Amino acid sequence: MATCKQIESLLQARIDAELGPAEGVIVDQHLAECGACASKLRGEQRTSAMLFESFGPYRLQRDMRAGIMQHLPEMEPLRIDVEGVNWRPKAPHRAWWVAFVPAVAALILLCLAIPIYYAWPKAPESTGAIGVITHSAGTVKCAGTSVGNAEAGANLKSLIACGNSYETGPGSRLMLSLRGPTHLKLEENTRVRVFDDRVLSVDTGRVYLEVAKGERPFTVNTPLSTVTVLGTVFEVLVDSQKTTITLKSGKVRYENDVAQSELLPEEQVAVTSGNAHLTPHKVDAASVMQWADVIVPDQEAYNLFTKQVEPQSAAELPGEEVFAIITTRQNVARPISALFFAWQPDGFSSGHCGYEVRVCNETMVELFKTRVDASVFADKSRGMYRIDVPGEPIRNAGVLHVKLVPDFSSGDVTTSFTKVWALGI
Amino acid sequence: MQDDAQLVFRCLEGDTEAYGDLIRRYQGAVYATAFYYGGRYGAAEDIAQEAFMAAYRSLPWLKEAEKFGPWLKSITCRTAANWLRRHQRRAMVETPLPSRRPVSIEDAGEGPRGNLERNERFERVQTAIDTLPERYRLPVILRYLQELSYDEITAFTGESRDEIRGILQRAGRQLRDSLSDLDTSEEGETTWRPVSR
Repeated sequence: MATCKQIESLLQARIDAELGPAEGVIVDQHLAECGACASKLRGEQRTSAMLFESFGPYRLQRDMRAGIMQHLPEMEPLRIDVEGVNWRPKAPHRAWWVAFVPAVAALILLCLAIPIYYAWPKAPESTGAIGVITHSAGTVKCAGTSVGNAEAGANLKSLIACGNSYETGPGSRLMLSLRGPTHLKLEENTRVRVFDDRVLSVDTGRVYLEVAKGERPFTVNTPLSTVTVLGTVFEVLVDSQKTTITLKSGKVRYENDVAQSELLPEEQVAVTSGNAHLTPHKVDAASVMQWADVIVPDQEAYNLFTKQVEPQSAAELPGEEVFAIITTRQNVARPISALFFAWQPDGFSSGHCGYEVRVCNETMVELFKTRVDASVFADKSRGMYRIDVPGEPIRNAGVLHVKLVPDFSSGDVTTSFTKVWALGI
Repeated sequence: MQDDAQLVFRCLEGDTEAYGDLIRRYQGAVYATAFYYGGRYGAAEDIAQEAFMAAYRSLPWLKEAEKFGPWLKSITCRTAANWLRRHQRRAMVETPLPSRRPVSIEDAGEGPRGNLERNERFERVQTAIDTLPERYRLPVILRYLQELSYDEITAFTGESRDEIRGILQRAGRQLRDSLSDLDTSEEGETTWRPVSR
C-alpha cells in the first residue's frame, strides 16, 4: 500500500489529470480509504480552482496566427536548402566589409607597433668588457677580440673581452682587473687565457690572484690541475712538470686528474699528474708572493676600470674612522706628547686621499687638529706616521678620541688604519 | 501531426504555413511567458507577437530543430526584457495590472464591487507567485494562465516531465499555504473562461 506521503506527492498531478492509469487507480483507492489525504486533495483543488479563476480574465482569447502571419512576407524569405538537423548557414546576413575586419585589425596593430618599437627605450649598450689592464710593463702579447672602440691589446687601459689571452715576455709584468673585482698579477713568461670573469686558464708561468666573492665559483685551469675558489688570495705557478699553488687567505679546492683536496692559508702544494697523494706544506705566503707587491695598478687605468667595468663598487662612500686611546694608567692620566698611526700599505702608487686628524678629550671637546698629507700614503716604504702634539703635552684627558676624516681632494684611494696609539710621558 | 523539427525544416524551405502551425502550437506558452514579464502593463500580446517575429527572423541560426520550444522560450524572455527596457519610463508611470486588463462585455455586468474584489484577489495571487522560487514561477503561470498540459510545459521549458510534475506539486503546496486565508467558498459568477485551442 502506498503511504500518505507518496500519495501527497501525486495529488497535484491528480488534479491536473496528469497521472498514469496505474497511478490514478492507486491514488483513488487511497483517497477512498484515507480521510486526511482526501481532505488535502480538496484543499489543493480549492487552491487550483482559485488560481484558474484568478488568471481566467487574462487568458489569451484569440488566435495570434493571423496577426503574425501577415507580417511574415515583409521579412526576408527563408529559402535555404536544409540538410540535416544541425545544419546552420555560415553567415547569412554578413555585410561585405566584415571579411576585411581581420586584415584591417592586423594593419592597425602593425601601425601601432612600429612607433612603439622605435620609441622603446634602448638598453644602455654594454661595452662587453669584463675587465681592464691596470698595469703593463715590458713586452706583452695579446690575442683576442677587440671590445667596443678599443683595440684588443695589452697596453695599459685596454679592455678585456671574454676569450682574450695574454702572454708576458721576459722581464715584463701585467695586471688584469676583472669584474668582481678580481685582480690578476702576471709574472714574466706567463700565459693566461680569460674565458670570462670567473673562469681562466694558466698555460705556463706565475699568477697572483685576488678573487672577489661571487655567486659563481672562480675556476683556474692549468694543464695539470683545476683550482676552484669562492673568494681568496692565492698564487699559481705552472711549469711543464707541476702546478704549484700557494694560498695566502681563504680556501681553495684543487684537483688533478686523479684526486682532489683543499688548501688552507699559508700552505703550498705542488700538483703533478697522476699523483693521488698531494700533500701541502706550510710556507710563508707573503714572502712567496713578494714579487706581486711591485705590480701596482695605475690610477687612471683603475679609474677606467671602476667607471666602465665596476660601476657599482664606485658608489662606496667610506666614512671617518675614530679611535679611542685611554691615557690613564693606575688612576693617573699620563701627559700625551705624540700620536702614532699605522696602516697596511696598499697596491696604489698614487691617488690617495689625505686625512684630517681631530683629537678630542673624553667630553668631545676638540683639543687640536692637523692634517696628514696624501703623499704619506703613496710612499710604500712607510706604514707608520707620527704627529707631535702642538705646544704643551695633553694632560688630564682620560680618553683621547682620534677622528680620521678622509679628504678626497687629492684622490679617492682610502687607507685602512690598523692601529693608533699615543706616547705618554 | 508533424513534430517541431519537421515544421522548422519546412519553414526554412520557405513554407510560411509551417510557421503558422508552430505559432498555434506555442502561442499559449509564449503569451504566458510574455504575461509573466510584461502582463502588468498589458503588453503580453505585443511581446508575444514580437517574439514570434524575432524567432522567425532567427530561425536560420537555430542549431537543433527539435529543441525549438526552449529556443523560442529564450527568445521570448529576451524580447520581453528588451520591451521592458524600451518602455521602462512608460511602465513606471502607468498603472500596472489588474486595472490594465481588457474589459469585456461579461465583466461590465458585474459592477464595480465585483471588479474590486477580483482585483484584490489577483494581487494576492501575484504576490504569492512572486514569493515562489524563480524556477517555479514560469511553469505555474504556464499551467494556470494557459492551462498547458505537463507535456506542453516540458516542450517549451526543456525540463523533464518529472521535474515539471515535482515543481507544480511543490509550488501548489506553497501557494495553498500562502493563500489559505482567501475565502474561495463564496458563491458567485466565476470569471473563468475556457482556453481557445
